[in-house]
Amino acid sequence: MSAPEHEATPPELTPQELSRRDFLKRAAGASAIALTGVGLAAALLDANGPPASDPVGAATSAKGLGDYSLPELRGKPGRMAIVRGVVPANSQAAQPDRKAMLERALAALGGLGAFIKPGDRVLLKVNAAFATSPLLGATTHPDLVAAVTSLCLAAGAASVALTDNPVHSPESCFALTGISEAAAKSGAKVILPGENLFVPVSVPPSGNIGGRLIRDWPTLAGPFKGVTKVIALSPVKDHRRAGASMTLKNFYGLLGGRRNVFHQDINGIIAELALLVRPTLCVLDGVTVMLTNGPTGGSLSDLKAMHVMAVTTDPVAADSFGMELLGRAVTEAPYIKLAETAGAGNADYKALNPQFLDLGA
Amino acid sequence: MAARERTISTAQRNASLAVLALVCAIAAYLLVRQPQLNPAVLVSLRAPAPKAGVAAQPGGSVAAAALATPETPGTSAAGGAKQATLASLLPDAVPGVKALAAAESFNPTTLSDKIDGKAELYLAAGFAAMACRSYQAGLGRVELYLYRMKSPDAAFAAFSGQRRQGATQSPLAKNGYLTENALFLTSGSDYLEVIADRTGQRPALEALAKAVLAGLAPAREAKAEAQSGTKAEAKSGAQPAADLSPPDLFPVAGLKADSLRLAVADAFGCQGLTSVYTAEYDASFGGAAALLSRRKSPAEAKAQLELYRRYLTDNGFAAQAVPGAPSGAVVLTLEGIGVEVLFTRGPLLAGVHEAPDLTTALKLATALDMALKAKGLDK
Repeated sequence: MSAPEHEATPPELTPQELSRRDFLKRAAGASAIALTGVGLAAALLDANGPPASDPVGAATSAKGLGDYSLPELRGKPGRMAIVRGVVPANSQAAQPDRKAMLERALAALGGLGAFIKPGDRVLLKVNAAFATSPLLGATTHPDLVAAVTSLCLAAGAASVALTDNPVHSPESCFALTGISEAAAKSGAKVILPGENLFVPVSVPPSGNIGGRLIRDWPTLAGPFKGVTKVIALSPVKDHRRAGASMTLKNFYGLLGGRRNVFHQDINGIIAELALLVRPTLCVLDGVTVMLTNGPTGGSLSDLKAMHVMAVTTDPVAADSFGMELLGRAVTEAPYIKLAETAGAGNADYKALNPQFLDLGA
Repeated sequence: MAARERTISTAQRNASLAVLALVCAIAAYLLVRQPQLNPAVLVSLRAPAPKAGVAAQPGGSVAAAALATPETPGTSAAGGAKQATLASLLPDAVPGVKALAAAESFNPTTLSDKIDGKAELYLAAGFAAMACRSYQAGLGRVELYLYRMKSPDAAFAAFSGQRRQGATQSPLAKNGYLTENALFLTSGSDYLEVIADRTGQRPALEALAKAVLAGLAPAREAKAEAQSGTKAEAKSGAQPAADLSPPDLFPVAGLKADSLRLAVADAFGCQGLTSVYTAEYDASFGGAAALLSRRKSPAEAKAQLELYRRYLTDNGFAAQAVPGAPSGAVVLTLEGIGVEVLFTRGPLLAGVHEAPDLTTALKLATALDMALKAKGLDK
């Protein structure tokens, strides 16, 4: 059985076989289908991408977590006070009174009232990275948390909360570091890093920093909702990878997700963190400094009692002073200079003309 | 319809098939790609993996649950068997000490989840796995970390890389010491840290360490048996010099206690310079360090010397001819930084690191050379 001729050898297409009317009908039909598809796609388009589980801070997330520095100080040299504490001869305490040190430093800067106004909602960014005793110096000391909280409330703050996204389990970290207890006693609310508090955030470029690593990255934005002032409370520690862990590295605790991928560019990420959030105040606690084997330490012999505390509006200057406490050059933590380049602060803390105070004098 | 079909040419049919194929390919691509969102966004949209210690302990209080650190979920299947074995070495209890929770296990990918930036030290040295567990000891809390490294050298590198000066020698191990609140030691390829949150916990620290060492003993004994022949030879004085390890070759006079260190990789910041032991000396040698590295062959030792020499000259050091230096030694100096001396003896790279001046550098280099000669390593 032979195949029909037109199947074996299709006839040549001739203009007579497709009328003008048919052509127009087909063209109109195809155009209608195409336009319907485009219209449908346009109707379904979500230009903003998928929503976060909690859109808190969505307005600020694209530009970081916010600038909480005092407007009158923006673009001007930061302010800084450095205080040396003493352990009273008749005291059984092993360390100087952090609250007294803090009050002295703040008094030199015009008092906490210069920074915290009645009604302010204050967020403390603590370092609660590890589930270890405060004795090991790997985390923000609970006495400092209590001191800052009580002073803020005394200054009229409407609320004080604190947060961190620790390396270990949050509950264990806040409990074992003594921060939970200090917060409870002094009136601060602990905000654990629940899943609904993370929002994709990007850091816009500034200079040659930013816009490269923190892009749509899950960030602990929830605790910043409604906050008017931010205070960073950081210990001074050696850090095997970064050189040092102080104020700027403390902001690493605002990142979520598999953030350890950033260890490959530790200086780049810390410099971007300097742009992620601009704190109102930074308290760098050098009462006990972890000189070796950081950031976890482990042995009391990793620590050195230095009995020093710095309070400043400039997080970069805070870290440059911290490097001095560690006995290292600023260049040994390259992120400090990078942060300065990005306009996050001054890598030469002495340029701020800090006030040096001594409680023992 | 039949009339229309007759108007379709082969070219039209092929073109339409090509368009359909393209559309199908696009559809398939979209189907595959559409669930693959930016991982960062995905993480932010879903519940984070529960972290250790979040879950309440059965029958326990919330506070107790907060203090606990149960086993980390999601360890890789590939490393599961090895890590389970390691975790099983951490005891449930020893006299006066009781585990607060199950052990946690970590592999090279997850180590930084536990110890953050300190993971670099272990990974660079040659890390295989780690298990840790929390204990209650009286009113205090003790953390036990057992690191399985890839070799005894790797374990020693992790141990020596964070050695605390002025600590007390531990009776439990040759490479072991106690600080006010912690105990650190190596056993073969394992490195153990036992850390208390307060002072006065030495009995608990040692009890836990002994329990772990007891678990490691069978493997250690098997290894010791295998090496027993070599040890017997050494005792009889017949051990070949080539078998001596660098730690046995440093001159003893002036050697600072507990100053021996091993850099497994990138020693002194020099990329490619590997397995270098250093030993620090006292003020009689200007506080300089001697260095030794055993290589596979004399040629490799010379290549390592050349690598480090080039690294130093690239960083401003200048080679100079110095009378009185060991035979074949290269002496490099940089004003304001110090003096380095390098030479080889057979498969050994030897030298002096960070001597403050030429006199002390040559003094220590000569002492090291003499010590090697005394062991028969003079070529």
